[in-house]
Amino acid sequence: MELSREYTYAGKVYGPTSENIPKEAQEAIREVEKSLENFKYPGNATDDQGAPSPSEGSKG
Amino acid sequence: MAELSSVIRDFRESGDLDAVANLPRLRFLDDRARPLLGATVLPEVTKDNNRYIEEDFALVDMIADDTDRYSPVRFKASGAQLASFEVALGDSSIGRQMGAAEYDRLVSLLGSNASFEQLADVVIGFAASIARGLTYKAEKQRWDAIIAGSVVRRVGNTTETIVYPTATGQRTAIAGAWTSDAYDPFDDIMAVQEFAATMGYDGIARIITSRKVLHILVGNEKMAYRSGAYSEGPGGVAFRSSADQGKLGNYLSSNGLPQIETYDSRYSDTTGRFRFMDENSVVYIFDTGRANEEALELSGADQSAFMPESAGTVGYVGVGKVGGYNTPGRVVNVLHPDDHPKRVLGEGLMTHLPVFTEPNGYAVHTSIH
Repeated sequence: MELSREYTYAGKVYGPTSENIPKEAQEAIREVEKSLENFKYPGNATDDQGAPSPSEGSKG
Repeated sequence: MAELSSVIRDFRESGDLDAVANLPRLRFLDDRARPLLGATVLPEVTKDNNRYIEEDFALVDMIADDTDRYSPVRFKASGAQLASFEVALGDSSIGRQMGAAEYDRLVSLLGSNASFEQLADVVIGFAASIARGLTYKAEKQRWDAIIAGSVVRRVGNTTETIVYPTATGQRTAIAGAWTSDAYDPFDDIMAVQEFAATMGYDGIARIITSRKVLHILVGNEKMAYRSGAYSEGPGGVAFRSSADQGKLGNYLSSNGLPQIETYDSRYSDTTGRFRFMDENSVVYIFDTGRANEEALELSGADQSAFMPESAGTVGYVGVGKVGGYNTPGRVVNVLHPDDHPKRVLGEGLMTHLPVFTEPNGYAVHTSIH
């Protein structure tokens, strides 16, 4: 399962390279990934030039 | 009768405008005297240079080696510092105008017998409002840096993104629904405690979130069980008393966690009002023990300190020199042009950037739902 950022589910952290993610965690992560697709960080909510999402920094 | 123009001229010549621009309370409080919480986590520090390498990072204590009694000591070459960070402070500015209509209203309000003090209050209020535009910008950048892990500076068509280091598990989106009674948010909070321990900190010193997330936690059934809102009655029946913040607070305390601080302050821009801190996030500040002497020394008119002494900081906001000025700090100018229409102009400038000296001294949960 490819992840765009790190997630916490039931106290466990799953990152872009995690394998063997439990099924229920996978389902929860998929839901949040969907909701985050169009997420814009609130401080830049009115800026249409492409604001960072909360986890973009984690790639750095 | 005092003239507004002469009051402004006096202010400019005396340097009092610089004092207003750098008033301690503007660093720590918003326009309604509510605390800017980011300013206690990353307080302002004045810097003589606008570009420098920050090397004052948390030192890693390394364990000693076994050696022979008379052999030379062995030096451990690497790992003395976690990292260094090249800081290039960026510029922000704001221009405001007290227009002709406002000016007219002001003059009529003050009447023909306006004293110097009355007019001085107006000038100080206008200058402070402009300075606050700059401190709000710094506050917004603090929460961008903490939550998003990056600060985006955009000047015209040029975009510059400053990316801060992130350890595995430091900034995570919460996948489980804290609003679901089947899910236990405390597992996620304990994961942060473990992360803090892994990073070498004693524990979590502060938990900062929105009132919305606090209410989600209070309303979650598993948290209600944990905080003692349920009890076993006769025959094993669970009775629920009201879950409240007090019970939650007690439960957090008994698990070595601080009380939850809520932060819902907003700033205004021409397009609306926005939160400094994302409403669906929780920020955990670890017990870093790093004091900020410059900020600790500042106090309000009643001599009370703005910085809670017990709260460690994770870095600072470097405030450098504005172009053309010899000393670091915010600059506010107030002008009163002589031509028609009568108006008062104000401009504020600041050179600044958040810097983390404890890059792993905090953790963030986002996307809480």
